[in-house]
Amino acid sequence: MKLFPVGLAALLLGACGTNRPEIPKELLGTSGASACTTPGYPAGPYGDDTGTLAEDRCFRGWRAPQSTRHDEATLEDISLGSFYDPTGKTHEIVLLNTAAVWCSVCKSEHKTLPDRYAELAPRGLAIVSALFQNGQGGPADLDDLTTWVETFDVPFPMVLDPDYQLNDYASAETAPLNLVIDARTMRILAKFIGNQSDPLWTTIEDELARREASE
Amino acid sequence: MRPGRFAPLALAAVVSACGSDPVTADPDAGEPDSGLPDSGTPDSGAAGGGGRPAKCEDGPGYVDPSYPALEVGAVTAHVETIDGEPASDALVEVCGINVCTRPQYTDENGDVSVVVDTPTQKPAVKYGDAYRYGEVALLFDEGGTDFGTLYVPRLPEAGAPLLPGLPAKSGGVTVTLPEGGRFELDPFAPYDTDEGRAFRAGELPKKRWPAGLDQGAKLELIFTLAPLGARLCPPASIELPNSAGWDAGTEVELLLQGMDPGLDPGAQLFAPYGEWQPFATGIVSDDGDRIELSDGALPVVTNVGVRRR
Repeated sequence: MKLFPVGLAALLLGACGTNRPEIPKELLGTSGASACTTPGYPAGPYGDDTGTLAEDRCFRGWRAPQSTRHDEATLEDISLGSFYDPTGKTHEIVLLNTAAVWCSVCKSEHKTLPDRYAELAPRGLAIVSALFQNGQGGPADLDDLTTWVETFDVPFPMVLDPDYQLNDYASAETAPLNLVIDARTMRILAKFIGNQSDPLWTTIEDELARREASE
Repeated sequence: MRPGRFAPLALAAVVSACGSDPVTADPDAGEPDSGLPDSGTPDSGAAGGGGRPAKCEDGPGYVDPSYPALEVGAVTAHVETIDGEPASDALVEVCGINVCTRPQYTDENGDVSVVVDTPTQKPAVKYGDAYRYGEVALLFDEGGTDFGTLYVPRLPEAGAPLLPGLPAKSGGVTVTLPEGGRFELDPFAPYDTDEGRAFRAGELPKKRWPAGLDQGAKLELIFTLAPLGARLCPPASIELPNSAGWDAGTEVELLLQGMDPGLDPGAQLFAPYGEWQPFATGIVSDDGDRIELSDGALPVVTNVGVRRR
């Protein structure tokens, strides 16, 4: 089969696959999807690409991994809706990121995400990252999450997504995913399949600057 | 008010060769020159004085985002050990510098297929797990995505601990961390135990190389090393078997393979992804048995290639 280049814009297109991995039932309990109702969250219709509304999702994880003991007892319910901020008081932009232990690009990305967060959170950036698979491609578990947050000293909310709720946005066969969401509306501003460092951070910084200029 | 308190930059988990206690550097131990060329790649750590452990330093790396994104599709391969036996349950993945596709494992016949459905910049097929087998990265070329038969060396079952000042020997290769040195390694499986973090090595004979593996570097020997990605701080000495049978005194150059992708600052730290970068020079020992370093040192555990100067 011949390889052929495609434009960078193609990277913004979502993967269409629905190839969710088979997840043992006992591992599905950590997501708590049935409890996912954030009061006041924008009503649908929801979509999976730029310009559409991101549907609320609920996970289990640690909101402040650096200051939290890492065990099952400290896992918190963390919803995408908890970053919804209609007035922009705390958050202007939400970066929803995925990672998998098998993904060396994700590890490379997470070596720099804390610095990006330190720089841009004061300007209104929230980051939440979802670890969805282990090193063998199976569902990620608490041990994987613990190792991940301790290895990369994650300062932002980090959650487990063993049943890969974000399949609408990108195939579970691929990582990472970076979804840039307007925290005031929960509308998707940009979607990057893979780590497109330059356009991703240009998008976020430009959007934050634009909002600062309009204040 | 927005969040105002943040932790400092996260570092990769530090796995001291001597457990969790800091290793005291010996200021007199000397620091091997990393031997890296003037290419923007930094020295890889210096033995800190004053009782502080050696520090692994980062640098700009070889990030180049200009590679086009390629539609890859289905990748197929048959993986065998260098003895010609099917390599079953061997990890095979496709990663580019921007995205990875979930790994697959060879079946009992050594066959595997990976479907890549996302445009990928500078894709490489990586086969072997750098634990039971050596791991090799082979960049895609115009030859398509059926890689035919790929060979990997089986690594020794028992590894040798990487301890400061003590030679770690495996598969004919010896790596010695300087006194006061340490290594840093992300503690994900199979590198989450002392046994997993031990040093292992195996040669990939030239007759078993796939076309394009040396990326035009004119290599004559390749050794696969594990634990892959372990930062050696300060850089370590390395001795290799002279399996080519070169004469005593033959001068050689040693190159390392870039195995880490990524597009963020500091990624691809020691070599461009999938490519080979010189890090040291060496010479065949007087008895003709070994290749010893004459200048430079190994900053990271990864595949090492050798060519005559």
